Amino acid sequence: MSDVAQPLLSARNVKVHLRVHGRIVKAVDGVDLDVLPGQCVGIVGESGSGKSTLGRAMTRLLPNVEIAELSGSVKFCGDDVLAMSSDTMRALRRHRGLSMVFQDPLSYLNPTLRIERQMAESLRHLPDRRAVQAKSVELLQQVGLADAERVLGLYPHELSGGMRQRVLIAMALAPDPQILVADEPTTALDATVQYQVIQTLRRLNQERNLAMLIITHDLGMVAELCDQVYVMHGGKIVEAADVFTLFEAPKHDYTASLLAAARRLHQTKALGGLA
Amino acid sequence: MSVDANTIGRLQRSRKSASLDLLRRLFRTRFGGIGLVILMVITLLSVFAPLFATTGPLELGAPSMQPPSGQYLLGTDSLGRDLRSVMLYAGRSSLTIGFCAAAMAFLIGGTVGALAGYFRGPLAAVLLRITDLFHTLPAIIIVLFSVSLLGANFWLQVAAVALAIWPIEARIVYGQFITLSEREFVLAARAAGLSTFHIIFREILPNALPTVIVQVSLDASTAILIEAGLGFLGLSDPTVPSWGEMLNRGQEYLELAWWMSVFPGAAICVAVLGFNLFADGVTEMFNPRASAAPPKLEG
Amino acid sequence: MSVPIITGRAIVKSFGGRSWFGGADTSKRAVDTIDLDVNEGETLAIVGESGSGKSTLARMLLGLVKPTSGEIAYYGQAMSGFSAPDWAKFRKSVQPIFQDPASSLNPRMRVDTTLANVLRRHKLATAATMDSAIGELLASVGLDATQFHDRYPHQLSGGQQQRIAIARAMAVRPKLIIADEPLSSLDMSVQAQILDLLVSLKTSRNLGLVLISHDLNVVDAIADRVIVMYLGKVVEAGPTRQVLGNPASDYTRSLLAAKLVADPRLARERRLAMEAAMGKHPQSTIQGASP
Repeated sequence: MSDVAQPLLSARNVKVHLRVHGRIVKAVDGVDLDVLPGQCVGIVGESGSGKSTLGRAMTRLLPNVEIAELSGSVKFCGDDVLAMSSDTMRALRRHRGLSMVFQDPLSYLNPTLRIERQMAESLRHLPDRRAVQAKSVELLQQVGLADAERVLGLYPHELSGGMRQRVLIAMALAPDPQILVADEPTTALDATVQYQVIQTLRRLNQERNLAMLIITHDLGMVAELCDQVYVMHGGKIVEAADVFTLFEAPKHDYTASLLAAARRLHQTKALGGLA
Repeated sequence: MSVDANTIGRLQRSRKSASLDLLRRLFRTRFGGIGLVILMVITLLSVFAPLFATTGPLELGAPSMQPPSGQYLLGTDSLGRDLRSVMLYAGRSSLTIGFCAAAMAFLIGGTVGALAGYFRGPLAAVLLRITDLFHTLPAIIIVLFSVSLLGANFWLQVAAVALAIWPIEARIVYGQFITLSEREFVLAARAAGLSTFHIIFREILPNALPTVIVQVSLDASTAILIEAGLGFLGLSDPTVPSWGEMLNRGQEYLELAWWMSVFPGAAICVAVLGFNLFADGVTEMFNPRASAAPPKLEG
Repeated sequence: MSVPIITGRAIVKSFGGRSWFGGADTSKRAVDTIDLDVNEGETLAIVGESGSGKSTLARMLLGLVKPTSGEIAYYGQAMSGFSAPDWAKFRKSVQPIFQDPASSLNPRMRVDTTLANVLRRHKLATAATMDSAIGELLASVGLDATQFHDRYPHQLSGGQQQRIAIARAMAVRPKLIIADEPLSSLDMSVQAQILDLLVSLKTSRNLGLVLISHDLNVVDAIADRVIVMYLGKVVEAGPTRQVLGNPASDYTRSLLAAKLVADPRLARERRLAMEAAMGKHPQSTIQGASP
């Protein structure tokens, strides 16, 4: 890790202003953010804070809305993502590793195709079917799906929510990415399944040195997973710190109020012994 | 604290601005505004037909089969009637059939659909089978059957058309009621002990309305087309001119007097187009995702 | 103090069933033989994940869904034998709060109309007192009446919508609130506020509360007793301190292990401890622990 100072993904003064019902909404309003190689970075914020819009702007996946202004720069390994042609962007997603995982796994899987076919879609760079099959199994095992061969033969509706999300993570890992951007990857999942997915992400981060940008509202998830945290509010970053500093000595009032709310909800009276 | 004049004023203002706002939103859709304008123009022309017509609908007296000219804007027909006047009065009956048949279809279909969707169970099973029965019979057969059985009376014809199109309405309303009656606000109303009448008419129906309006509008255009078909086949009430009936008369003279067929045909097209554009606009207004604005940044 | 408002005995709800032409019974039991009591002024938490049948159970307790078999009674009187006045009395004392506040308010009805409908139904206000009654209700959930009474749901934030939903439930001055995941679709800071609101209403009015939740943190914060459900069955029941502090079933333990803590040091310590105790990959043991 000699290139620690060189960020993998970096945003400078990113602004995304949307036009909603004739009014301009400054969804993202001048954000700076860095993700170093192998680092797990969290963007925390509540609904309407602009965190998802920021995540989508950084991966060039802004939704189908009217954009009034999109400015600033997002650099991935030194190339400006916002200025890229869509072909270059597609190549970047497919080969050089900028992958994305979303909240609702079911809507990102084709219900009429077996997992095998959908995995193969993202493995088209491999020479033959045997290689595709082997790589698919390997990827599914990496995300903790032990009986990968069986999962490959199933349709999305035959999988549980957690399995679907892990299949999507496996597909995101197919181009051997250097960074994974995950927008609320566990929100739709049950607690035990959420924990499994978080542990899967954590292991990928540690074992493959995969950098991550986790977008979430859940401070518990941030505490579990992230090294560096950006707190977002009203389209701006109000505080950025490493995870320990942020939780122990928040500088901004908004961060402090978020933490107070989280502690109120995570107060452990009966659970004192366990923790 | 009772409702004072001030509150009432504010209420009325908010009602008014709400409907104005709806109108504004409709005009912001791609076609909704055009549809509404078309419908309003043809409706006004029909309603105020006497103002724009030169003669009564069945009045003879002009030279027959005159091509369109300064004097006879749309020409005259084989009997020597001014087509402009006939068109206007015929529009009245065509639009009446469109609106009334759609309204009746909505009443029958809406009631059946709402009852089946809200109460489910055996009642729903019976109602839905009846709906299916009517649905499987082609509309034109139902209408032909009733017209040949009961004669070509204008209002009978409206009823027959309504009978032919209500099953679609019932299906749509049924689907809406099934979905909406599972929504939490309906459960909350039930848990609060509010009456079934309240739940159906105040909680569910207003939320089903956008979808239903679209269907009613499409039904109106279907009704106009069915009526045109009937008229063309010579099965409409001969004493009441309609665009379809005019087409029927015009086809005999297609080679001699094109205007006798072209104008009523165009009027049917425009009316149907108006209803369909309006329906599209309403759909787009309540479901913005249906509009396909080009993406700014593609993946 | 501990008079049961609602008692449920051997409640079963199954969906699906035999086809018209006979054949095997394919029905699935969403709720499978459950007993429970809800006492006055008590908070009972029903914990479980999706598919555990907890929401179906809630709807049965609310009298919105009939159980397939078993009996639910309100102050000892069986719900299956309710007359119309019995239902009116029941509706006036047992009220729901739902998960998604956006869906739990009629999108085409103003806030004041929503509340007025309920007040009028139970004759709790006349035309003359309606405005002040609505004002009081809104104030009791921390909203300013002059500002909120004429709003439509889409003009409100998620937290405000949930406050209105709570006001609607409180309008009849109920004895028991059945809250199905009342916090889980809200932002964290709003969750804390709504939780505090529920706690204060509960203590100030001796309100019984059935809290249906998958979030053990919330359950821990306010519940007196806990029932843990898995696939329609109760796997564990008892006082909160006992069930969460010293769980008897593997499933409860796996739920506890999956609980996130908003403290990075604690999270890391806990993970290390767990990895040391259970081998390298804790998630596999969690999977294995599910009954």
